[in-house]
This record gives sequence, structure tokens and C-alpha cells, in this order.
Amino acid sequence: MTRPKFFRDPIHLQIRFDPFDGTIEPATLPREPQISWALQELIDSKPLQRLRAIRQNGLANYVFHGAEHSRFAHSMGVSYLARIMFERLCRNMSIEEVQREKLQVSVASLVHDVGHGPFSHTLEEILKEANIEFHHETMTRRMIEEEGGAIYEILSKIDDALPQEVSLFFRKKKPEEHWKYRIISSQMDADRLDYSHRDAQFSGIKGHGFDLERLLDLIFIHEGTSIAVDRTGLSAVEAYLVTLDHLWRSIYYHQGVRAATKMLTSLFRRAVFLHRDGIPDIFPTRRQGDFHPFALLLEKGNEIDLNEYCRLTDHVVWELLDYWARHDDFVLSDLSNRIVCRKLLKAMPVDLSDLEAVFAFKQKAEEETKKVLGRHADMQEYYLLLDGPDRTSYKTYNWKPESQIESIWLTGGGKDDTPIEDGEESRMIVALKDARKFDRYLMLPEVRDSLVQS
Amino acid sequence: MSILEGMGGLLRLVQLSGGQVEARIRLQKEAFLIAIAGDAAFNSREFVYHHYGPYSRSLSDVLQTAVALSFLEEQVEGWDDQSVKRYSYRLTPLGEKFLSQCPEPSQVFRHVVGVCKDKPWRALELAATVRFLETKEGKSRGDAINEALALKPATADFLPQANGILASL
Repeated sequence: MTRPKFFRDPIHLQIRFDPFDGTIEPATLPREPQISWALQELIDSKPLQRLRAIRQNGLANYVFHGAEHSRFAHSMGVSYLARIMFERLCRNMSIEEVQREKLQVSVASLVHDVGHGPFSHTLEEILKEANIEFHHETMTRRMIEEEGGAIYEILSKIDDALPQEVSLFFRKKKPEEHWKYRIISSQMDADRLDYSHRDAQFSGIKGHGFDLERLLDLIFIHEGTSIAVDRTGLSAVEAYLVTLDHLWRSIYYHQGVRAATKMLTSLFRRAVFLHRDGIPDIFPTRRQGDFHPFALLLEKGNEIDLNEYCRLTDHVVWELLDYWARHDDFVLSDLSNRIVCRKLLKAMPVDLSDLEAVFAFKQKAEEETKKVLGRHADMQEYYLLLDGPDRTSYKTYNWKPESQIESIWLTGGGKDDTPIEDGEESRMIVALKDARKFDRYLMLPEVRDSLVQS
Repeated sequence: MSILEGMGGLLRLVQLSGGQVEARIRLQKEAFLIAIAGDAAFNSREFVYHHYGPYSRSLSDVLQTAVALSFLEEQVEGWDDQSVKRYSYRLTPLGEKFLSQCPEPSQVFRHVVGVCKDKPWRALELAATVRFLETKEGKSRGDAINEALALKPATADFLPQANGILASL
């Protein structure tokens, strides 16, 4: 019999894994020890260990120097919360836990981020611009489904059906809907419940928070498919929604964080252009005949070999920046140096109430940028960037969903169940529904100063 | 798609639909069909498969901002069979003013909106899903229709109208 294993987590304090009899085949272990076996095997696998080398919040540490936690840490937290959510939902609904479903939820929550690359949303934006079909969820599914892969092999030791059952959590097209999928993907899933605490703590943001325990004690299931919260917990829901909104404004859409991130996007855009233009060694390799994983990703997209894809971590990106900082190409070297030395572009908001003024502003900004760049004026497009709220890695609550299956529903109190965005039971929620989002232009500091003065 | 990039397309879609559009689903599906038809107002890569077919979170954010800025007026139209509110969106004078500063829509844009206008949203859902399966997953028309109907049995009655939309695009 193994001993219980404990992971000390800065948010959830202690994450415990039950002991199991290591002499018994995993397929024949009782369910709870089986879950423990599966999770511990997965934690020790390469796809999960790789997440230690991928930061959760990309370049947010350029503003919040403590925000250096990894996707690995976040995945541990999500798995912990997902199991609790499953148990509480069953308890609150007075339904028996289906152990198979609990196994699926536990595994899916742990591996939910394995498909991410370094600076994932930047990577996806670049590939989208380059017309390459790629999505991190596709990579997650592949890592779960493909024979020979570490995750597939672990899950298959339990039985052959489990990989497909777990992969289904990451498919939008499902044979039928079930509330268990909402624990992994919904507007109040284990992912959000973890990162809303973790990202705030590591960013040093105090004063935003919500009563997680209260929420977990008051969650129910709406019509077998959606998460609901009892109306007595409305204040906890409000606090959760306010937290998401505040985190988005404070961290994910912070102008400095966005400036650093957009500069990285611009840099990779230039690299892709040069690479496709036939300039050699934009993505260098150490050995002849070898291929840089980014070059392979540009060629193969979703079809890239998984072993090659798993080479992509934050380290690879920083190595490229170091290499490009000494490159002959002006944009590659200049932007790389600016990023490494934190010489960031500056932001100015876009006011849509006067579109003519926006167009005039953009034209003026282009002219000023060309002046500053001098003989490199034709590179202006890499230094005047339009940023929008949709580009952040995490989003606020979606107040205008097309389908409300992933919404938070309010239940109880003698009233009909209502999705939170449709009700007007809370002035705070009504106010959040009217929140405006806005674009920004990001530009060279000299350009911003010139525009402000004029 | 930033707010600036998407706002013109969204408002133009409402304008060409007679100044009012019922249901967010209609907005999403028409925007996707416009993108697939090759108009740059919307980017087909922004759309992923969601419960009602191709869906763009970016477009949803643009819609929220359009309502917050009073470019569009949102009204509750009623309740559907799942007791869920349905909303309509009407172009306001402020929205018209914004549009007056935007380029004129292309023939492609106008054509797609014209084809979709007054068609039931279920037919749009089915047609857009078929086109999504064709373009994103490389399926043949027949296979795409079969899969779409399997995923969305509620749209089966609207197959003739969906086929009409597809034939016109």
C-alpha cells in the first residue's frame, strides 16, 4: 500500500492523494484509489511536467513581478477544485456519485491545459494570422487520444474507453450534454474558480475575492446540464463576478501587460514573415537536419508531431529572443531588445463615440511612428498596434451568450431558475452587464508623447 | 477581432436586415456566413463550434459594447421553449452615425444578408453549421448535412430552408 501523498499549494494549502495498493492492476483498483493512482501517474508524466516550464500568465510578470506561477500549479488547483465541485453537486442534489464520472472529471480537470504552448494566446493569434489551423484544445485532445502518448497509455491501463471519454470534455460536439462537462468548461468552472484566486494572489492584488466555500456549498444542477447557485448565495455570486471583472481590468487587460504581449506578437509576426520569405535560420537549430519546433508548428499546425510540440516551452521563446536580439533584421533585434529590457510601447484608448477622430488619430500616429523610425519607416506596422479586449487569455463573464448552457443559473427562493444574465435580481449584476470594453492603440513612447502634446 | 474592427460589420448587418435583428444566434450565424463568403468584415477563424454551431466570443463582446454605447438597443422579445429570454437588437441613431463614417458594405456582404433576411433562425443555425463542417473539417455537403442534423435534431424541419440558403450563397 502506498502512503497518502500531499502537495502543498499556495492557494488550497494541502492537496491530498489517497493511498492505493500498488501491487494491484490499475484496472481492478477500487474507484477512489483508482482515481488517486491515475492522477499521480498523470502528474508524473511528461505532458504535465512540461507545464512547469510554461507560465500561467505569460508576460503579466512585467507588471506584477510575482505573477510567475506555472500552468502546472494551476492544473493541480483545478483538479483539486473539480473533485470538490463534483462531490458537492452530488451532495447538494442528493444524487449518488457515479464513480466513473468522478474519474472522468478528475482526470479531465488535471489535463485540461496540457495542449497549451508557451504564451499560448500569442501563439494562436500568430498562427491564425498566418492561416494555420491550430488550437490548444485540439492539442489537448490529441495528447489524450493518440496511442503511444503518455496520457493515453496511463488512461488505457484502466480501460480502453477512458481516453475517449476524457477527450469528450474537450469537444464542443458531444453526443449528449451533461452537468459534469460544466465543471471543466462553463462560466463558473473549476478553471475560473482556481485562477481567480491564484492569479490575484501571485499578482499581489488584494481586495478582490469571493467566498469560495459558500459558493461550493450552494451549487446545484439545472436541468441536468448546467451549474446553478441557490439564490441565498447571490452575494457570493456577485463577488465572484466582480472578481472576474476586476481581475480582467487589473491584470489581463492591464496596458503594460498587453503592451508586452502585443510586442511579442509583433515580433513573432515579423519572424514568421521573414521565415516564409525564405530568410534562413530565423528559427535556428543546433544540428543540421534538425527542425525548430516553431518552424514545424508553422508548417503543420494542429498536425504537428506531439513530441515536437512538447518541446515548446517558455524557455524556447526566451532563447529565440536572445538569438533575435543580435539579428541583422531591425525589427527582430529592436523588438527583442525592447522586450528583454522592458522598454514597452505605450497605450492610448480608442473612443468609438467619434469614429472620424479615431481615423484621424490613427493617421497621425502612423506619420509620427514613421518619423521616429527614420530609415526604418516602412516597419511602422510592427510598432503601431491595435489591441482589443478579445485578445486576453482570460475573459470576463459572457453577458451575451448565444447558448445559456454554460451560464450560471440562479435557483431556489420560490422562483423559476434563471440564467444570471437574464435576471435583474441584483443591481451589481445589472451594472456589470452594462460594462463597456474598449480597444487601445499601442505605440512608441515618443509617438504617444507627441500625440498627447498636439 | 477588436471592438473597432468588429463594430462596423455588426452594425451594418443590423442595418441591412432592416434595422432590427431578432436573436443573437441570427447575428452570429449571419456573421459567420459573411466571413465564409469572403468578406473581410468578419474573420472566419474567429469562429469555433459551439452549441448552436459557429460562434465567436469576440463578436459577443462587440455586441455587448454596441449595447453599452447605445449603438444598438436591446429588447426582450419573449421566451423560447426552454423558458429562456430572446432578445432583439435595433440600430439606434448613434449607431447610424457610427455607420455613416464606415466604408460602404461590399456586394458579398449585402448578398449574404439579403439571403438570410427573414429566414427562421433555426434554418440559419443549420446552414451555418453545415458550412462550418465543410470549411473547417473538410466534409462533403452530404456528410456535413447528416452530421449537422445528428447534432441538431431540432433543425430537421428547417432543412429545406437551410438548403435554400446554402444554394444561394
